[in-house]
Amino acid sequence: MDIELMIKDFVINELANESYEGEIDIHHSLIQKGIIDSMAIMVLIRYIEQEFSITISGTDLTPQNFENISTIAELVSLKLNTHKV
Amino acid sequence: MDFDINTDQQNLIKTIKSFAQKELNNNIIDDDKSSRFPMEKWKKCHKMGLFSLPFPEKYGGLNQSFLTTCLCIQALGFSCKDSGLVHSIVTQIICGIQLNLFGSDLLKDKYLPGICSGETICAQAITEADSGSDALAMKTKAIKNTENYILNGTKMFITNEPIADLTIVFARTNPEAKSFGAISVFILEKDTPGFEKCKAMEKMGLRTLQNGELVLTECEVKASSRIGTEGQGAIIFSESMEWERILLSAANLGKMEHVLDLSITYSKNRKQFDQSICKYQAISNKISKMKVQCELSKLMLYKAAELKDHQKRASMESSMIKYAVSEYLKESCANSLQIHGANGYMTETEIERYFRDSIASTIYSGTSEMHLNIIGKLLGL
Ligand SMILES: Cc1cc2nc3c(=O)[nH]c(=O)nc-3n(C[C@H](O)[C@H](O)[C@H](O)COP(=O)(O)OP(=O)(O)OC[C@H]3O[C@@H](n4cnc5c(N)ncnc54)[C@H](O)[C@@H]3O)c2cc1C
Repeated sequence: MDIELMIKDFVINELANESYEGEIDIHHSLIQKGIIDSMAIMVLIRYIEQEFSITISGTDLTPQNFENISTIAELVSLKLNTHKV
Repeated sequence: MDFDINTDQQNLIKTIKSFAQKELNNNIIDDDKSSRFPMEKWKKCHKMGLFSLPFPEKYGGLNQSFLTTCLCIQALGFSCKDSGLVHSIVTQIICGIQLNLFGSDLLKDKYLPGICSGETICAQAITEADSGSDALAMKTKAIKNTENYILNGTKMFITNEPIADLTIVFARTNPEAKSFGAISVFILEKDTPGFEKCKAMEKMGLRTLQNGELVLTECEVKASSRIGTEGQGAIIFSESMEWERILLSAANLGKMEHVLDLSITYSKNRKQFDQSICKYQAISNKISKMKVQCELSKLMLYKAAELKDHQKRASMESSMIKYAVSEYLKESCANSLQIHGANGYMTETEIERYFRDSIASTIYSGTSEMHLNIIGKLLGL
């Protein structure tokens, strides 16, 4: 399955509050929309690490990498490619 | 996962236990009464290399794994009767870990050697009067002018602050933005103009531990003193809390094991109605429960420490271990006091102090209620 789509599914179904009604586009800022906060980031990283068998730590842990679904998917792809090397 | 304790680890544990029993256990009742920080013992701890356990050798560290560090701190918690001093040591190591994980080479070269040796005392300032559990709702601001940041705000309850040379300060670099991405972390030296620390606060327990307020007024800090990138504060907070919660639990597990030993010995020696009180199930059940809690905690703790050694996430595990050990410790201390009867209530037997010390463990580094919230959230609830 497409990484972006998997992350989008997870964000919509697990992170966005039930009362959240807006559209979530892959380029929308999840931070500004309040979908990613200090608690949600833990849930999201745990999901990504388990689902894609990668580790995200140190310099990868920046707000820029978690800004929107597209940047998160890019980070995951990058990690998957480095693992393959 | 392999939790066999190897010979090197066993030797380290033995050395720390005998060091603590010989060098750290005098005058504790008096120090507790006067809330005095035992600086002479702190200095002995740096001679022992206690602060340097998990750090790279190039900074003067001992390059030990996090699991080994936890085993050493567990041994210290077991054998050092001054839980305030142990808490202070753990805070020092955690500040070093934070700097080592996220600091620039410049900051690490400058500060880690002093942190490892213990000559530089460290504190970590997050909490404010209006933001405790909701830590990231902090109001302290760090506003960038051309080169530097200007910090304004007040931090509360900060461990080691009254005696610290260095403080890791969390502040809001983007006051308009949501908390995530708006907070950054800085390392400040105590002599920085506009950096004012207040005297230590009186407390119920952990009385040798020095906790205080920090007031920042137009306090100017170089951009190079920022730990991590701008806006990375919330992530640094989540990551470093995992290490902190595991290491503090190691110390508290050690204390629980000590309280278990004391309860066994006392209940065997104390006779009422012509037999040892341990023969009454009302007493022995309390002790059996303590033993179960110690063993469960050990497994959870070592698993969480191993995860960090493998650069893995341990958000769920660190919350579970922090919640469990702090609640078990409080319960064990209360039960041990009951087993000791009036003797336990007297200052001299030291159980009442352990009980007072244990209360804070369900408050600092995230309250028990907050840990249950985190676990629930991670379960998708
Ligand atoms: C010994 C000690 C050392 C400390 N050291 C440091 C330090 O070095 N650096 C630092 O920055 N801070 C430090 N602190 C502060 C500590 O981190 C805070 O006390 C802690 O985060 C709780 O905040 P609070 O005390 O303001 O309680 P509050 O957040 O006001 O909570 C009060 C009560 O409400 C409950 N509560 C709050 N929100 C929720 C919720 N959403 N769901 C359910 N229950 C909730 C809490 O569990 C608690 O029972 C220390 C505290 C102590 C006691």
